[in-house]
Amino acid sequence: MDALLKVKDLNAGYEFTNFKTWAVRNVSFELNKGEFLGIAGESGCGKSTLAFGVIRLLMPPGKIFSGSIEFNDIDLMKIDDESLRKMRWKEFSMVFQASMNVLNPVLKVRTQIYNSIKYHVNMTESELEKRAKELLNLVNVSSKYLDAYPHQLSGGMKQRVVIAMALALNPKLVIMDEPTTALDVVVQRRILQEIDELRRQLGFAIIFITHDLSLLVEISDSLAIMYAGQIIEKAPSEKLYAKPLHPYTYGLMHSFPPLVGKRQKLHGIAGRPPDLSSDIKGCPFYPRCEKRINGVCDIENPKLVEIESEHFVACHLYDGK
Amino acid sequence: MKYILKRVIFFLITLWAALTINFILPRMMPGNPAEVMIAKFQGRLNPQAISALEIAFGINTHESMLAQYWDYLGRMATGNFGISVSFYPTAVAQVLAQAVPWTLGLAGISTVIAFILGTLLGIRVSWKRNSASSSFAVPIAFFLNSMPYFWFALIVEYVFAFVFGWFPLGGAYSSSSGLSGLALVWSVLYHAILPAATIIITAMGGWMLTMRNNMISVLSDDYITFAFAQGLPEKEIEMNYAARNAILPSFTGFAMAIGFVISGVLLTEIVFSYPGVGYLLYQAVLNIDYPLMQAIFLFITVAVLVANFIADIVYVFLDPRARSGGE
Amino acid sequence: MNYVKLFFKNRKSAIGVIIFLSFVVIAIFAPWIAPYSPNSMAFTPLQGPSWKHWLGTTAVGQDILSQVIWGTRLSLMVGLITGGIATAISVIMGLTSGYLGGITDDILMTITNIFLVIPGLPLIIIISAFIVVKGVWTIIFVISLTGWAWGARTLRSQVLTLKNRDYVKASVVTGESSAHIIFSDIFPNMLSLVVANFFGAAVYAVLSEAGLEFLGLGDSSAISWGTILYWAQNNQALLFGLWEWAAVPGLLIALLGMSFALMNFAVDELTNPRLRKR
Ligand SMILES: Nc1ncnc2c1ncn2[C@@H]1O[C@H](COP(=O)(O)OP(=O)(O)O)[C@@H](O)[C@H]1O
Ligand code: SF4
Ligand SMILES: [Mg+2]
Repeated sequence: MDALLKVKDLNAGYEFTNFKTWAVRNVSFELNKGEFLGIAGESGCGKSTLAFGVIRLLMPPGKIFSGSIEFNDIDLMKIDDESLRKMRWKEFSMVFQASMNVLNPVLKVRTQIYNSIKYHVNMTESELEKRAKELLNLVNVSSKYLDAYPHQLSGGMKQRVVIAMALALNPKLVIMDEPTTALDVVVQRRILQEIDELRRQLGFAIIFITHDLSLLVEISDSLAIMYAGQIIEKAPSEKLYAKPLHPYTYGLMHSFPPLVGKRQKLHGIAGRPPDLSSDIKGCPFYPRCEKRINGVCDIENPKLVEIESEHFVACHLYDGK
Repeated sequence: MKYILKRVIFFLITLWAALTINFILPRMMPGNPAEVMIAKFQGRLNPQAISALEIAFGINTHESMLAQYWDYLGRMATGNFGISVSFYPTAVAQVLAQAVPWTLGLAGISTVIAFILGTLLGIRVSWKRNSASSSFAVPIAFFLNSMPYFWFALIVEYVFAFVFGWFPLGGAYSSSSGLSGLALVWSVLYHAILPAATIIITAMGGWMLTMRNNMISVLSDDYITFAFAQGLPEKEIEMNYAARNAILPSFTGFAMAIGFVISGVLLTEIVFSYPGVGYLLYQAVLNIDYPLMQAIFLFITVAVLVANFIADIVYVFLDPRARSGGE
Repeated sequence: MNYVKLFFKNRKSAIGVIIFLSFVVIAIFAPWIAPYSPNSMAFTPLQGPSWKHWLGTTAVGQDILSQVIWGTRLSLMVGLITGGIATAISVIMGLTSGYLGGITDDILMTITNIFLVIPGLPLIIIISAFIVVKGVWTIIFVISLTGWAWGARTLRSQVLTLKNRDYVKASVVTGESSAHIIFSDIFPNMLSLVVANFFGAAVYAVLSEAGLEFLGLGDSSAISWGTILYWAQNNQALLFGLWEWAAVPGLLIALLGMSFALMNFAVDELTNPRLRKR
């Protein structure tokens, strides 16, 4: 197939002198060109670490422990720093979870957009200006804000500026780490649709991270569910929504109110996710799982296996044990 | 603009506070220090000078405190600081005027150099946090920063002027007469090198540590990671993203830092017998010349206030948030 | 208080603590460690170092090593007491101003900022110059008076942060008294900052005391590292080649100052996660 990104057995986390948080555990997945992949899971399950890890952006104490990452057949784990720098933004860009704080407070929006372009392609001042206006236009921000400083923009506007910046060089992949969490649900949904629109126009692939599964309904091509640093289920979206296999996915889907229709009382998942700085024996979901099989699930961690075509799940209910 | 106005008001309040300290101190201290001084110089001063001193320090007067205070503020406003008893009959203002250029030259230039060097070093050391030179530089900065400045000056003077004889032992220029033009300029520079080096080295440590801390703090901000994500060159991130933000607290903490530097300058001048304000203050202290001391105190306070004011203005230029109203 | 443990594990604070404790030991056991009485003028004046007098003798024939050992007491004492008093003033000013807010805050902070901006050493010098009777306590008084402002400012901003914490708000809602809120909800949570401040103020005190003594504004008959330096300078020790006389007390002041600075920095590092070594 047309794989753009191949991640294999990725392990990553945070290393301190006296302990280590193992936040991404043996994660493997592939992403095709132009694909919209959603990654969902409760807060603290390692989504951001995975996102940063995949583009080698983990800052100390964050670290990739092992694994391989191939982008467009280039091995990101082996590439030298300067080549990696050149690939960034041009090949893949990222919108951060903390989008409100990612703009440099002392530089004008103009300078920051210019910077994200001019270190990768040669452009004259007037070309830069034209491009910057185009980009702001794309995300519905008036170009008069080019000369504003970040503190003069509202939260939503900053968010849009960052999204515009992420698209500046027409990258092949845009990673979005909960880019809309600070906004209200309706606005979130609208921005997501706009982003999807842009994707269809410009043809880039998206990894969209969220803790709110309902947000991605009818938008993403495929979905991966993370729990305790692992991908525990992955499938094309329709399949997953129609028939969630993993007990955690099932729980997650029923812990958010449906977007349309009557709001029912939520019956989320009881308990908390495990501490990622400790070793986990058996299935990480075992303590919270309603369907656990004693003597099996607490002994062996299930592997992610393809149960039906393109439908992967890591659960002993399905691997015949 | 509102920010600048606030600074101006603060400038005036502080100036008033310093003036008031000068007024109250001699009147409040037990043991009538001013009378002791007048008694000591009795024989050498003419009656006019004595009565001027008595007025200045509120001795043998029937005027109310408030009236004295009002008169005092009037004299200060007109630049009438009285007569120096140790340089009698020269006016304090005149004595001070001779010392000021030396201090402004020495302290001004070395402080700026120290600030720039220290800040650059702080940036470097935090950016290359785990390099060998960083783990070397930080403890050294700690040591430099906790040294008594005058002691360091003594050692520098001893080693480079006395033992090696590379530099003069003190003074501001060669006393051999007839120096002029370039030769005089050279002589002045030559005499300034050791004291300047002392000030730069001691002041640098503090600014380096401050900048290092600020940098480390800023480096974990999200906009730094975002800059890396954009594939900006390291130099660009180091200077325009990290350092550009990390330097801001250096300006807000400027008041305290400059106080330390001034102490260093005063003591360095004393050690090198450099004829600036610090050395003059020392002589005033030795000779119990209160009018001179007070004028010097006032001068230093104003100089520090001006330096702070400049720092405030630069800050407004550097931080857009300060420009548009906020704190 | 798991910080206490971390404090002793941190390399910076460990070095700081070791230096500091060495000085404490020297100060306590000075009479036993010092080879001679520090005041005895029984020796040939202005000698260089020898086996009898490791650091040589003063202009009036005192043993310099014995003076340095005894001087530890006063230098240490001035540093600690002054640091303590200055910190106490900082705490009172910072807490009151931050907690009460409003006009009280404005007034106290203006006073604090004035003290911050008026250069410390010149102020100390002129106050001391007006004091007729000089002694250790006047020095302590003057330095404390000028050394509290920075601490008051940092403590105040900490109070402002703490005031908005949920448990403090809860106490306010349940009608606890101000004293209760200040002393059981706020103060315990800023202890580390107070400790850091204490060390900072102690550095300032040690250095200022040395400077004052050096200028002859202290009590030159007392024996501290600062007065030893004063006498060394007054007798032109360096010009006579007796460099140990000036070098050693200065070095000790620097070491003591550094030990406080290291402990200050370590506390900072432990409580500000951003500064923690990664
Ligand atoms: N900078 C960091 N330093 C230390 N631990 C971190 C850091 N960032 C995240 N973690 C830890 O890693 C785990 C996964 O976090 P994260 O990837 O942010 O999850 P998510 O994005 O799904 O909320 C959590 O246990 C979190 O505490
Ligand atoms: S493996 Fe067992 S415990 Fe884990 S999710 Fe499946 S049934 Fe539940
Ligand atoms: Mg996250």
